[in-house]
Amino acid sequence: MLGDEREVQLHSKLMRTPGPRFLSAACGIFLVALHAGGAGTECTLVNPVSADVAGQKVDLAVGQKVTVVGVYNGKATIQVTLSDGSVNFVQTAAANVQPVAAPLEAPAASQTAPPPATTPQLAPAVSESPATATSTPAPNAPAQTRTKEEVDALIEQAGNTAPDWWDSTSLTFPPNLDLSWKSQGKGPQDIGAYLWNVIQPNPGKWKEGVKLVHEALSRYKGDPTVEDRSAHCLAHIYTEMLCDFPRGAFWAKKAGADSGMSIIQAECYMKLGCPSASVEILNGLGSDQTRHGQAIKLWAELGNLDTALAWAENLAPSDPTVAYLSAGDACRRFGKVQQALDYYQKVLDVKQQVQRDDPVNKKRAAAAIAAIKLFDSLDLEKIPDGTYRSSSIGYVGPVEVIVAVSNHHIDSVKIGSQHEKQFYSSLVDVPPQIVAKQSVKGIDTTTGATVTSEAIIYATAKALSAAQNGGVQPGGDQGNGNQGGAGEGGRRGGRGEGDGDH
Amino acid sequence: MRLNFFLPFPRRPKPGNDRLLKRPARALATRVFPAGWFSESAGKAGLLRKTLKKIGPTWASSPVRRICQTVCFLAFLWLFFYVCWPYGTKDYAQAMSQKEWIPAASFLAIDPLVSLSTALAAKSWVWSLVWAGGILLVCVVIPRGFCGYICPLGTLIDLFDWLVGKRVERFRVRKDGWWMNLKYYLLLAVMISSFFGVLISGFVAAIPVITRGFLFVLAPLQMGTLRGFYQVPPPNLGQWFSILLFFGVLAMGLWRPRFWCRYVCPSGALFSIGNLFRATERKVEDTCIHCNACVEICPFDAIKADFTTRTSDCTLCQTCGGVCPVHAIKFVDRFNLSNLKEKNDPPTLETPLSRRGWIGGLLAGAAAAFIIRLPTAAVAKPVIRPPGSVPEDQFLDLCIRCGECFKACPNNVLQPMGLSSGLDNLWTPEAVPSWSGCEPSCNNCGQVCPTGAIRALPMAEKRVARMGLAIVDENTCLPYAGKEACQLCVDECNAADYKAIDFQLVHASYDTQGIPIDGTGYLAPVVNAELCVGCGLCQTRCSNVNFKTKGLLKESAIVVEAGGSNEDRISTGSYLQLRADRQEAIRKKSVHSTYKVDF
Repeated sequence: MLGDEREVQLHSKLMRTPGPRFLSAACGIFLVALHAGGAGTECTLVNPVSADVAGQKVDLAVGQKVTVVGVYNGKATIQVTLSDGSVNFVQTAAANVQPVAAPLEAPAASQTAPPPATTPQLAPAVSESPATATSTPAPNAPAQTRTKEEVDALIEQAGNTAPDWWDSTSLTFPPNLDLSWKSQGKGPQDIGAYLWNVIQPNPGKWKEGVKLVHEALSRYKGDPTVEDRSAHCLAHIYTEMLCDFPRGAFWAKKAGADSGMSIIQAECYMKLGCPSASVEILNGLGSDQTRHGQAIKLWAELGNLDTALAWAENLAPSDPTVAYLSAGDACRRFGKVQQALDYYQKVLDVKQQVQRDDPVNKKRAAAAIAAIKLFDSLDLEKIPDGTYRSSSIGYVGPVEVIVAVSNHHIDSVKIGSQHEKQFYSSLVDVPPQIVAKQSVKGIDTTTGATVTSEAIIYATAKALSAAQNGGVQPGGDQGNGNQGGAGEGGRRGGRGEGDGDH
Repeated sequence: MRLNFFLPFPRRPKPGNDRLLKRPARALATRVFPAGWFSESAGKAGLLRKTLKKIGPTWASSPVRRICQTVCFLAFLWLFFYVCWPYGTKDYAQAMSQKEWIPAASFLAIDPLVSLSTALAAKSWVWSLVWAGGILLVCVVIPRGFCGYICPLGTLIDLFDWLVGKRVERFRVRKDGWWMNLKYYLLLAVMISSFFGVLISGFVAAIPVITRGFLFVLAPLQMGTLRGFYQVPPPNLGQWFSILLFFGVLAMGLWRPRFWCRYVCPSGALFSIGNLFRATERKVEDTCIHCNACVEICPFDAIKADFTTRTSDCTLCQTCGGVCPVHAIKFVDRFNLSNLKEKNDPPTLETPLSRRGWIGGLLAGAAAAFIIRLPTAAVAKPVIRPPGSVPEDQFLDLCIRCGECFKACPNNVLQPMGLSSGLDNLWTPEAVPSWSGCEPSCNNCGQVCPTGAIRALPMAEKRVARMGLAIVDENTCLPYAGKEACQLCVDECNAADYKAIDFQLVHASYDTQGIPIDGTGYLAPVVNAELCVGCGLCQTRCSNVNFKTKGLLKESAIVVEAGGSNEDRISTGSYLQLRADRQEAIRKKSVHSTYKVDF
C-alpha cells in the first residue's frame, strides 16, 4: 500500500471523509486509500518516474504536479497527457507521490478542487491562480469557479441522464433478494443488508450497486418507502463511493432535506466549484448534528478552521469523541500538529462511553497519534548514536531490522533474522535506499515485494522512533506486529496490526 | 569414407611418413600454435601429446571424444544450476529466459526414450520427437554417439569410475551373464508399459535419472547455500527412492566400468537398435596381432575376444584405434570390406539374446502397467497440477517425471509427489500452496517441460489458466468466525493483480431502523470463482502468518482445491478464450436495469 506514513495518515484522515461515512471504519485501509485516490488527488512527485506509454517515453521529474486517479496496493495510477493530447495512465509506487493537500508536507500550498475522475465531461473546476495570501493561509480553501446557477444546471443535466458506464456494467444478484426495503436491514435477503455487506466493501461492485437500486425503483414504482430509501442510498453511493458529485447532489435533493442529505449537497457544491453555496447550506444548519462530524470536516475543507473548531466545541458536550476527533483532523489538515495531538489526546481521555461510536473514534485517534509520532515527527537530529533494532511482520514472519546511527546519520540498515522466501529482492533493495535517502519516507518499494519492503520500512521507522523517544522499544511488543507509538495512546488498535504490514 | 579422429597413442609415425602431418587441420594448427606443442614427424612427442598421455590413455587416444563429453557435461551443469535458477530479478520468467541461450530442457529433449515413450503412452505427438529424430540421424554417422560423446549421465559415470570405481576392486564381476542383454529387455518392458498408457521410462531413462538425481541431491544444497536452508522443502519418501536409484546407477560401476551404460540403460538400447541403420563402423584389419589392448580399453564392451566389433554397442569413441600398436583399427563406412580380420577367431562365447529374456521384459512391462495404475483410484483428492497442465489422464501419460519443472519453479511451489500417493503419481509435480504460491510473473514450468505435459504458455495465457479454486473455510477463517479482522488473502491476491477475492461484511449490527452500525462486523473474503486461478498465494500467506507464525489456526483457512470445474485442463486452445466464454455467459444472465429518475 502506500508508504506507511501515508497510509497511517490516510487511516486517520480519510477513514472519515471525504465521504466514507457510509463505508467508514469497517472498510479496510486499502478501500479508503482507493477512495481517496478516486477523487483525482493533486500530488507532487518525490521521486522521478519514467514509463513507456503508448510507445512514448514519459519522464516525470521530482516536484512535478500530477493527478493521481487511484491508489491501490502500494501503486498509484497517475494521469498523464501525451504530446498528441491523449490522456493515459502510468502506474508507479505510491511512495513516489505525496499529496499536495497533505498539510504536513506543504502547509501553505494553494489548493485546487480537483474534478471528480468519474465525470470527465465536466470542465475541471480548477483555479489556476495561486491563492494570493489575503488573510490567514487557508491550505485547502477551494476556489469559486462556478455560480450556484451553473452548478444547479450541471446537477440537473447529469442527474437526468444515465452515467456513461451504465450499459457496460452488468448486474447480477441473488434471485431471492428482497428489493422492497421492507425487511429493514434484517436478514440476509434484504437489499439494505446486501448493499452494506456485499456491495460497499468492494469498489468493483459499486456501479453494480447503483444499478441494483435503480432496479428496485423500477420494480416498486410509486412505493414511498422504496423511493425514499433508494434516493438516500443513491446519494451516498454517488457522492461517497463513485465521486460522481453532480449525481450525488441530484439524488440528495430528491431524498429530502434531512441534515445528512444537506451535508452531501454542501459537499457536492464545494467539489463542483461553488463553495459559497456550501457555506450557505452549512450556515442554514447552524450546528453539526451528524454522526461523524461531517459538518466540522466540511468547514475545514472549506478553509475555515475557526468555524470548524467552534462547531466542534459546540458539539463536545453531547458527543465528545466525534467533536475532538474532527477538531484534531481539522488542525492536522492545517499543519497544526501539536494542537492536533492535543485534540486526539482529548478523545482518548473521554472516560465514559457517551455515544455508540466512541470506541471506534478512540481507535482512530490513537492511530493518528501513532502516525504523527512515528513518521511526521521523526527527526534524525534528535537520535543519539547507537544501534537500534525493531521488527515488523513481513510475508512469512517478523523481519528484524538493525539500524546503526552515528552523528545523526543513518550509517546502515541491516536485516536481522527473517524467513521471507517469496520476495527475496526487497531484502537487498530497500535498506540501501533508506541509507541513501536518510529517511523512511519516499522509499520505492520493490515491485511484487511490497509486503516485505514495507515491513522493513516500518521496522526501521519503529526502531528510529523508539531511539528518538529515549531508546525504549515501543510497547515491548516487537515482532508481533503491533506498531504502537510511545505511551498509552500510541497503540494502534483494531486493524492496526494488519495495516502496517502491507 | 574414413572417420578416423583418434590419435595413434603408443607409437610415433614412422620416419619419413609425414602423411599425417600434411593433413589440412594439422597443417593449420601448426601454423597457429607454437611448434613445440606438436610432435616432430620422427622425433620426440610434443607438449600436447605429452600432456594428454599424462592424463591417461583415453585422453591421449581420443581427445575429441573427451572434449565433447566435457563440453556437454558443463553445458548440462550450466543449464541445470545456472539457467534453471529463476532468481536474481523481480521477474521470475525473465530471470530464466534471459539466460536461456539454448532451451533449458535440451538434454531431456534429445533423450529419444523420453519422447518416444511419452508419445506412445499418450498416443499423440510430442514436440521433442523432432529433437530425438535429429539425434538419431546424427547417430547414423556416429553410431550410439550420444552415449559416448553427449550423455551427461555417461560422463558422470566415467567420473565416478575414475574417482571410485577403479579403486574398489572387490565387487568386480569377471564372468558374463544373462544381464549382458538386460537393456533390450528393459526397453521392451518400458515400451509395452507405455503402450498400455503407463509411463515407466522416467525410472530408467538416462537423462531423467541424472536430472532427478541432481535435483534431489545437489539442488537442495544450491538452494540452501545461496538462499538459506529453510527454503528447502523436507524430502519425502519418493525423493529418497529416487536418490537411491541415482546412486544405484553410479554404484553399478563397481561391478564393471560403465556397467549401467553397457548393460542396463534402455535409452542406450534405443541407440543400439538405431545402430542397425548406421552408416559407419569400426573395422579391424587382418594385420591384428591379437594383443588384446583394444578389448581392455573398450568402455562399452563392444570388442569381444575375436577383436571385431559389436556394432550395436560401439559408440565410435575411437579409443581402441588410438591404443592399437599396429594401426589395425579403422573407422570407415560399413560397406568397406577390404582386408578384414576373420570373425569369431578365437571364439567369443557371447551371451545371446534369450527368448526367456524377451518374455520376461514383455511380462514385466505389462505387470508394471497394471501395478502402477492400480493405486490411482485410491487417490481421493484431485492433485493441483502446474498451470497449463493437460487433462489428468494425458498428463500422467506425458509427464516423464524428470523433475525439470521443480528446478525452474521459484520458491518450490511445485514439489514431487511421494510414494504415498501411488506409483502412478510418483515424482509428478504438485503445487503445494501451503509451502508457497505460484508466482504471477512466472511461466517457467511450461517452458522447461520436455514432453508438453505442462504446456508452454505465454504469460498472458498462464495468468488466466486455472490450476484450482481457493475455497474459504467459513468455520475457521478469522473474520467469518468472528475472531478478528484479517485481509491477508485479499491483499495477497490484489498484489498479484488477480483481484479475485471480494469482501463481504459479516457479523454487522443494525440499529432499530435497520441502519447498519459503523465499525461493527468484519470484512470477510469471498472468492470470485471467475477470476481465481488457484495460484495459492492466499493460502501461502494465511498459512504462514495465521498458522505458522501466530498460531491462530490449525491450517490455512483458505485452501486451493483442484479438480472438476475448479481447473482448466485443456490440451489445445486458449485459456483466455475460455475465460471470455465464461464471462459472456454471465453477462447474458445479468439483469437489464434502467436508469430510473421519474418519481
